[in-house]
Amino acid sequence: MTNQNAEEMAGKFFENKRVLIIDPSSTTRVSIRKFAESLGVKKQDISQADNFSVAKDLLQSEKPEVVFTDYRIQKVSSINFLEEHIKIFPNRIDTCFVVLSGQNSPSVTCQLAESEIDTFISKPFTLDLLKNKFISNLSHKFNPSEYHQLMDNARASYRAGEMEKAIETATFATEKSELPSGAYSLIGQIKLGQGKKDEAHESFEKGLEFQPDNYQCLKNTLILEFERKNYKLAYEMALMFVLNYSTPPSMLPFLMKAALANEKFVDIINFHKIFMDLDPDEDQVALRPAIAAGLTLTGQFYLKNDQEDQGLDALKKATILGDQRKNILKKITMVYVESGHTDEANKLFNLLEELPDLKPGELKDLELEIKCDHYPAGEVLQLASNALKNGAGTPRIHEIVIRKSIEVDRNADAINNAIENAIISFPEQKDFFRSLYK
Amino acid sequence: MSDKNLTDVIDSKNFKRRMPSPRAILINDTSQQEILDWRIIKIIEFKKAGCIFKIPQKKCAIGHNLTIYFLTENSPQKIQKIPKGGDIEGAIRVSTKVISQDNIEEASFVECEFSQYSQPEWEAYLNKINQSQNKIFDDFKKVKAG
Repeated sequence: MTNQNAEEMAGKFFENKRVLIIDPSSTTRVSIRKFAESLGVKKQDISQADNFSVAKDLLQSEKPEVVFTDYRIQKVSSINFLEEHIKIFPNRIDTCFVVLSGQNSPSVTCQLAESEIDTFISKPFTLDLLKNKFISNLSHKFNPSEYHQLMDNARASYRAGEMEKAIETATFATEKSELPSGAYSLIGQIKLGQGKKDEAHESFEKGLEFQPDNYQCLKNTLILEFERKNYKLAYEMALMFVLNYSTPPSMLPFLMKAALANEKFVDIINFHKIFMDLDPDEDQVALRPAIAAGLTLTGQFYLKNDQEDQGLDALKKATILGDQRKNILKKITMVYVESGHTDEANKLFNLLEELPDLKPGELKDLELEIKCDHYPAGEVLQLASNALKNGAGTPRIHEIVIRKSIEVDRNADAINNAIENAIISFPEQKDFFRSLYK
Repeated sequence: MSDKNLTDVIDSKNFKRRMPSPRAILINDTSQQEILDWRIIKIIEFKKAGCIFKIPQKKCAIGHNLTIYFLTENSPQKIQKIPKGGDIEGAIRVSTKVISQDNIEEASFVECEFSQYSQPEWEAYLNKINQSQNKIFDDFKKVKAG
């Protein structure tokens, strides 16, 4: 398509469209308005809002098919507004949703492209220069092929919850294009939602036959391979994914899982480096627990394999990122206990004790674990027995009572009594409790 | 299984902005005011021969002449004084006139038109920014393909 043709087609597409521009800066809104007019939009069809609240009212009253919006205004994401727009226009082929943002890293671009956003303009922009490429990027909307029209209908049915209709339309679409990976990807996603994982897997693989680097098919296949515990294959596919695409931040926890499953602990250390380099925004904060959990397991691995410095370093980093998250801090403490680093375990335990949302007795298990091998058996037995009396009975506390009772040479009746008490509380573990005393 | 690690392949640059925020400083030749801290000037839009930026209010007015220095990676991080002769290492110097101004809350959105500048130099600067935008369009298209 020549530039002139494309511009004419864009003109026809935009000439009867209503446009909504959402940006806090009026100067930016004026620039985008001029840009919209240059695309063929009529002046009277353009409305503007400086926040999403006003924009929602205008969405209802004006029903704009085209939206230009800042990525985030007053901490509200434009993705929320996109959802509202989709409710009004479930068929997207005749609409256009453009996001503008100063956050323009390839990984964020990739994440945004996964949504129904049509395109993304980086701030500060050069609207004078980007028109041709902007038009070319949207050209599939100006004169949609039968395949694109069918896929638009299939996606609209999917959003409306009409799954069988969506599958039927997407299946029909597979015959209308030489590259129908998107159709197979949609069928796969629907099957996934229906819990038919094998059929979903088959559909994604079919999509990859036509386009080996199709984003959605590749991403979903590697996730499914991981779920099938085909860890090596999942890792290989993850490699292919990151070779082809800029990893969206939301994929990092999954890639870390794949690395952990393959004992690629160097990856985890490097993921931490990548994470520390990310812009400290909400997306980065959301990744903290996953990175901390990965580092904890990495630390555990290194310590088990006598790589003391690396192990302690990983746990130190995990502690910083796991700040205030008691489950992560508990796990790190346990790793210290298991590896004989009692001082570090105690320090972290003291930190845990100061957390505000602790339930009574919640740390008893952990306290006993720390003291179990380093305090006199009688003292540990007393602590564990008290914990049971106070209702903090877990299998592990019962186990400690039994083991320490044996260690301090209590009489057989007392030991058998401890075993019977444990079995009453946890009958499914009776064989284990009985095996402790022979 | 491949010997490669995921993090051998992931380019950490992918998580960084494609281009760092453009930096600029300015001298208001009409009022003799200066803004030498580039963090104060937020550029919003580049034009073929002009630009729009956000600065604190009362730094300029319509009709004022401004000299703007667009800093590059070769320019110094801190500029305390404009050197004699008026050139800053690596920076693109343009003479401009304020053609519109829009005051919102405590900020002023200023539109300037260039009156004296090196067109090839400016075009090269814009092309670099535009290339990064084109890459964004391409990435978007690739993810959505099929």
